[in-house]
Amino acid sequence: MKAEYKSKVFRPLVTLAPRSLAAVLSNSTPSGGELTTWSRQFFVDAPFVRNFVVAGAEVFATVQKEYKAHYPDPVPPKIVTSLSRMYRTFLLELCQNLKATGDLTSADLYSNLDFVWNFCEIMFLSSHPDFPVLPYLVDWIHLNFDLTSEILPKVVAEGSELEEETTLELWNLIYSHVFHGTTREAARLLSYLGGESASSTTQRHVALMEELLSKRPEFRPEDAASSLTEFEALFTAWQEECVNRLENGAFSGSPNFTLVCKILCGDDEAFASAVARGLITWYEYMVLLLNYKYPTIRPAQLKAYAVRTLQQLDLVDKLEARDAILLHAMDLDVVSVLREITAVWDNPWVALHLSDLIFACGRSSISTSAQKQRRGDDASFDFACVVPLRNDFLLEYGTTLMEHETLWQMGLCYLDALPDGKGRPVIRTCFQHRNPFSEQEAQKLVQIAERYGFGDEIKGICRQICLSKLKRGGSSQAQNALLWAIKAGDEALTTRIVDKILFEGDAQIDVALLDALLANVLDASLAFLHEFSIFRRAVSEGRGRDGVVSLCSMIKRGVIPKRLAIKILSKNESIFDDGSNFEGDDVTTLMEYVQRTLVTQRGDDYNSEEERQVTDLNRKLIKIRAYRIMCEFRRKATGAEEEEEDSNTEFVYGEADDY
Amino acid sequence: MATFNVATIDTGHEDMIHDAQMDFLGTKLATCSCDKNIRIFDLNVQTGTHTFVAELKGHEGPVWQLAWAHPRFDTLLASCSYDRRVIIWKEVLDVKHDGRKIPKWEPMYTYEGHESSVNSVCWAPPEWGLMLAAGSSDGTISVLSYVNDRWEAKKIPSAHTLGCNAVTWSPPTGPSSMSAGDPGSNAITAVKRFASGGCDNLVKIWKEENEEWTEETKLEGHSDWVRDVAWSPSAGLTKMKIASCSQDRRVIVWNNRESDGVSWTPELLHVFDDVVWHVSWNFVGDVLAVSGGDNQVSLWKKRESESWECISDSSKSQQQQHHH
Repeated sequence: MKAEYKSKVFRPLVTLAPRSLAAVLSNSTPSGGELTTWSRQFFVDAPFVRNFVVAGAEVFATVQKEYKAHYPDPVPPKIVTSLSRMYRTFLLELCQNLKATGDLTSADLYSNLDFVWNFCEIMFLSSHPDFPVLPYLVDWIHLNFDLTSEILPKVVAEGSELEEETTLELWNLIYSHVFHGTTREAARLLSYLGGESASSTTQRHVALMEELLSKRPEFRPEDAASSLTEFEALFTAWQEECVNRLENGAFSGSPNFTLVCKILCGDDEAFASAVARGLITWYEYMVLLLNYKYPTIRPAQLKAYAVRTLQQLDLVDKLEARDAILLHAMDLDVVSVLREITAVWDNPWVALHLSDLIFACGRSSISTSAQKQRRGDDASFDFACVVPLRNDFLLEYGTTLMEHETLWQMGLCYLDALPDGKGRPVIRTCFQHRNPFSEQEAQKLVQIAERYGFGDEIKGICRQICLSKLKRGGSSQAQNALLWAIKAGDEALTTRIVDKILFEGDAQIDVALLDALLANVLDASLAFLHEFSIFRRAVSEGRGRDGVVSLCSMIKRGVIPKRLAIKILSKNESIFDDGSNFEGDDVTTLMEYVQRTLVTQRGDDYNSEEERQVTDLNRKLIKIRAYRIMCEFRRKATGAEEEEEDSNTEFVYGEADDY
Repeated sequence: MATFNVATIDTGHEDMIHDAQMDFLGTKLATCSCDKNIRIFDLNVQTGTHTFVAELKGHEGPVWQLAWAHPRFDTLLASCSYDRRVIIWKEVLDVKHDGRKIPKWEPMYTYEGHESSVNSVCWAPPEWGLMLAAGSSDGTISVLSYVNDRWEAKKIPSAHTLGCNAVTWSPPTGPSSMSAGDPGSNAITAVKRFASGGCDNLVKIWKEENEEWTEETKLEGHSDWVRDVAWSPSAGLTKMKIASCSQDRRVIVWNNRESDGVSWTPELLHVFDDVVWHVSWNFVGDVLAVSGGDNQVSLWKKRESESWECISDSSKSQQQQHHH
């Protein structure tokens, strides 16, 4: 049937590989036989990232534990914050490792992630909606913009006689600490200026400024005793003192000290000059504003100041990717934060673990409208949005991990965290697609599948590993495969392998397998195998009598498959060598069986060698019978006490006649 | 955007490739072509390499589609072709004299019940036995089942006027229960269903009732030939969906919101620049791959209660390639 096909329209095809996004196949050209494969890079396989992922998974497990322990109450902010810090520790560790190997792009990526995460931790986890957010921001800025380690060593090295350049750098460092609000640090640094070689004026200025800087009030969130009003009073008083000192000319003659004091006073011009010197980023500027003008603002009020900062610095159109995320966080718009993070970095890790923490935290800052009004908040946090997002991330990350060669077990932890047992069917599907590389992996898979009660999948896995062993060939593999086939409960496969062992191998079954068979009598069709293994065990251990008993039992019960009869007989000759193995009607049973076998075997599987062996066997049996008859006769003849009431005595004589 | 490692496999086909399918476990690849042949490759997941294993000759026209059966049924591959045939191929182990085992492919069964090109084949979920659906340009759909060591065929006459282009089976489990996870599996539904797309611009859903196949639902939404349909696997997290793509440049996702397998609400995924030829789901059922026009491949994902979002695009990915 010739079929002419004329139309040659190119039809681009696409197929997703069985595992999620492992590979996409498409035909690349209309005429050629080229196939394009697109396989997604798993970020997990980059150097150092693996350890990072494992560490993250451990923290994740801890979060789930805490969630369950506190349910239905949310996990307290303190615990959540410390867990968040653990995540960040690993992020930073990864950064360091990547930097050390020279992969600065990746290091930069993770560094940015930490920067953003830290800010989100403040907005969503650690800060309290009723209290100032500034202390947290000070820490955040300090962590990310502190220049001390770069500049201080040089200063210390030069001792009391500072070079001009070093003095400049020292001042820059002092300024940055003042901007950041770490005024006590700034105070300490001043001592390097007030050494013995300094003028008395300078020393006086240093002393005075140290005092002002050290006395600056700081609101401590963890300090339950401190109240907001008290802090406000203290702060106002301190700032007044700064203003007084300035107006009294305490720092006249020194531009630097004057400028610092002006900053402490919250002078806008002073702030502007800092910017003019190109000294700071907008994050630092925003915190500068808060430090000296608006130290008590609450988290939900932050956005306005951020916007103001950006406008002042003319950066509104020049935002970086991470800036958009920070602004969303200031709006408490967690959905946008998570989406942006995922979109910008195509890295599921942060979005997942952050949303999970927020979920665990429960965030009792679900503001009622009354609360919102009372606080005058612009922003409010919608917790309900977090749940579906978290589910989405869990599913994506969990299934990604479950496809991984070696990290798949970690995927279970994430999928299990899906609410209402939704993870179970997904895990099940993942199991169906796993192709175990090794027996160890298969065992692990089975163990875990048992935990979940995945009956079908266990069978599938066992079958899979069984087949792969069979493919490899060899008798030890076959025996191993048999164990797996039994575990899979696959009758047909089991029979196939049994035949294989008996037909293709040397019908030797090792002890371990025999033990397994003895323990695993599954059903009628394996009953023969069970019996046969007892028989083989007896033969291999030289217990001829037991072998004969077993063999006769099998024959009488008719469990030996016809196709195996001749094989079994021919391969186990050794028991026929010793007449004392036989008692009672054993010989008869066997002779009949042998003769039956020889007759029926004249068929398809004609094997002259085996037939010859069995014929020999027949002769042996005849000899044995003769021997037994002789024994009986001798016993009777010598008049020795009949030790055994041989009920077959008559029978034997009778047979002798036939003979 | 997702970064992808792009590689090419030279399959050895002498003409356009029409289908490429990896088996269930991702260890084998089968490709079929206008050159009438099917080629099988072994895939090494660890090294990412492929090895040619066999060339299957038997069709007398371009081979349109391939489908691997579930591993529990041994290694079976179904193919359909312009030559009006469906062939089911089986891998056997050929034992050589020296004991080596060479895998060999043989046609296990050839079905010649169609009067025109067979455009699509798809295996049913293994829970329903060894069963296959095939759609043809003669407008009929055949369902082949292997029962009592024999292949039986049931035909659905006049399934789609002018021809059937694609068939896809429903997953075996019923609509998952979203409530408390029960320790047992989702109940295997007794009702067997599959969907088909045809030249009558329709997507139809077929149901087995009293051992006969009847049309259950007609999904109208496309304005030109439906080229491909794909029923999403249901891992239990999301509701059931069917994706269809058409000559009218649209991909529609049909949502079964009531989880009853019967009521379907269309959702337009996107209007593309050119004909859309293929749609295919990932194994979890939350990412859809779409190919169309001049070799444009894109991946789409839906966030909860959001619209569909393109997470990757072949043209952009290729640009990324250049940067690395």
